[in-house]
Amino acid sequence: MNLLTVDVGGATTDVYSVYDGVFNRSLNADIGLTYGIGNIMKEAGVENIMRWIPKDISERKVRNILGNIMALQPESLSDEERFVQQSAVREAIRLGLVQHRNYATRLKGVRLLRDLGMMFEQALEPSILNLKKTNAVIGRGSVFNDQENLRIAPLLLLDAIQPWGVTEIYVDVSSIMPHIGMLLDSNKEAALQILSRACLRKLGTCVAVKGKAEAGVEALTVSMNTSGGVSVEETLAFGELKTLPLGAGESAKIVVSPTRRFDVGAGRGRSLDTKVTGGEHGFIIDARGRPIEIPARKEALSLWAESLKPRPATPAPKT
Amino acid sequence: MARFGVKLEDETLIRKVRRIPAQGEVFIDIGDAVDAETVIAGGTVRNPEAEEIKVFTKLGVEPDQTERYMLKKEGDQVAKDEVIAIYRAFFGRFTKTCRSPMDGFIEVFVKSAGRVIVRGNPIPIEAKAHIPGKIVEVIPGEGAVVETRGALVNGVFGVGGEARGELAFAVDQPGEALTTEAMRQGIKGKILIGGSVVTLDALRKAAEMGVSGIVTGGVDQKDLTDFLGHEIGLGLTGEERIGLTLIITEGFGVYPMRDETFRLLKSHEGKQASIDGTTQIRQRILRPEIVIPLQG
Repeated sequence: MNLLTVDVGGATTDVYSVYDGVFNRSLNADIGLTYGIGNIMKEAGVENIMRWIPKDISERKVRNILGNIMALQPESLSDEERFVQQSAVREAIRLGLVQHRNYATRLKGVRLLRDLGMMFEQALEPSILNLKKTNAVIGRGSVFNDQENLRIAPLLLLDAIQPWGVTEIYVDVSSIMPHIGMLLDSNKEAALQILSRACLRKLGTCVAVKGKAEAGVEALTVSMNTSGGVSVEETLAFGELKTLPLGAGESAKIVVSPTRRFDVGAGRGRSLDTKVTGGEHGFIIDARGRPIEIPARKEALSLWAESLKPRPATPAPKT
Repeated sequence: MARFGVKLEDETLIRKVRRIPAQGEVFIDIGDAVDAETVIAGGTVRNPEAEEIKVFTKLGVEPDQTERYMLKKEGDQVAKDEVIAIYRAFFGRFTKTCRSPMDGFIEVFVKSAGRVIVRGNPIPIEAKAHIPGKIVEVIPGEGAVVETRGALVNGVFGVGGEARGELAFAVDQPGEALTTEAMRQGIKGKILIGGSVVTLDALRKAAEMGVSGIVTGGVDQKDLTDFLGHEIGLGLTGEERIGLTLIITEGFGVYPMRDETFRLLKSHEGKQASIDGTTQIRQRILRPEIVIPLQG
């Protein structure tokens, strides 16, 4: 299993990954949400923070909000302040990933034998980080423990990390993941139980496509058959984001059929037939393509947030 | 947003540790009365500027032969462009020289490698009392603790280091903005108290006119960035060289100074104050402060 964890703290942003059994950790010092929030603005640029805000807020106001989050460290935030903070989270993770990508590399100087067929393989890319092969992402840090942020946590992680293919999304709600790591050596079973029962909260599974088209062009069709006997079929246009109800503990068989411009992990235009499990936000279908092009219309950002609200499980049809 | 309260003390016992960041000499004793400008301790610190020179390549000789052409030895003072090694051939008709890139001294000469490190002269440092008061403790070789009674106001954020001057009001009400209109003759060396915000033009004008410091409710983060010439980045300030010290008591943006703060400062109008914009938003949080000593 390939796993990517992002830990957004007040002063640092850490990224941990395991790809093909290789563990990597990088720490982006001074990029965080209190002491380091000014540095996000400095490193990412205020315009990159502003592009995620689903509302028109002037640059001066955004700067003042960021300055006040740093200087005053408020315990409660207004809606505008929260939008700015959530946008800063995305950029903090993005900056963390950029650093991690450069850090998680194969041995430099090693000569690889390759043939023509391997030319386009990810395995030959310099970084181990592979967003197509990422089976699960985990978000941690106090920002993900906040109830308001938790409501759009999958969106924050998807926007910032932009995995594609099939990815499970979790958050560490207890902030004890590092401690469980220490327990691993002495009691592996107990560590695993605590991790799955008390630490991680599954938000859902996402299937995302890579590709690009004009807005409104059909991107993919998904058919889902849940273990409870519910069948759903959805067709999404490029730029859309949708969730289908699939509760925690539920599983479903899905067939994702992208149109010829899009790839869901099986190749352009090729269908993917797999099994997924649900979560608080259900089964997420992300047809925004990769890399995500942020629309100029702020309403689109609000729609994305709205479409990722937590979903209750679908009741089984009455017989 | 929940407002972050600033510390306000009408009269309190204030103790300041004043020390230099290296071993040096302490010039005062316990019980001495000091004023804000009294030098407590002084010394020097190592100059971080240093340059390694490959003397042998400049002279065109083998590294291990360099020593015979050296004019300076370890510890010798050198001036910028002064010759530190010379190679002569053909009875002095043909010469090659190696010169010092800076004023400083020869820190290291590696004979086998034919290389020299020239380091800048030690930088003199001193710690002033910053607040008038009495010496209650001496830290041998480093400094002392100054004690005084006075009023204390913490801001939430500041830039610029320590400054001193007479408190002068630039506004009548805490909700008024501090603009260039307040920049009149006679404000040089003073600490201007503003209201809700200080404008970028006012900051620039104040620095130009030699204002010692500005205390205001807020400042626009964009204006402060433009004034500094760079993004603030981390919540760690105090080393900026911007010509004045700025302290905000409420936050970024337009925020009227709290009435209690405004009134307290107003009650000390015309008195000497010591301010420090140093801010550290981390563990061992450090807020900028305004100290108004009640004595002397």
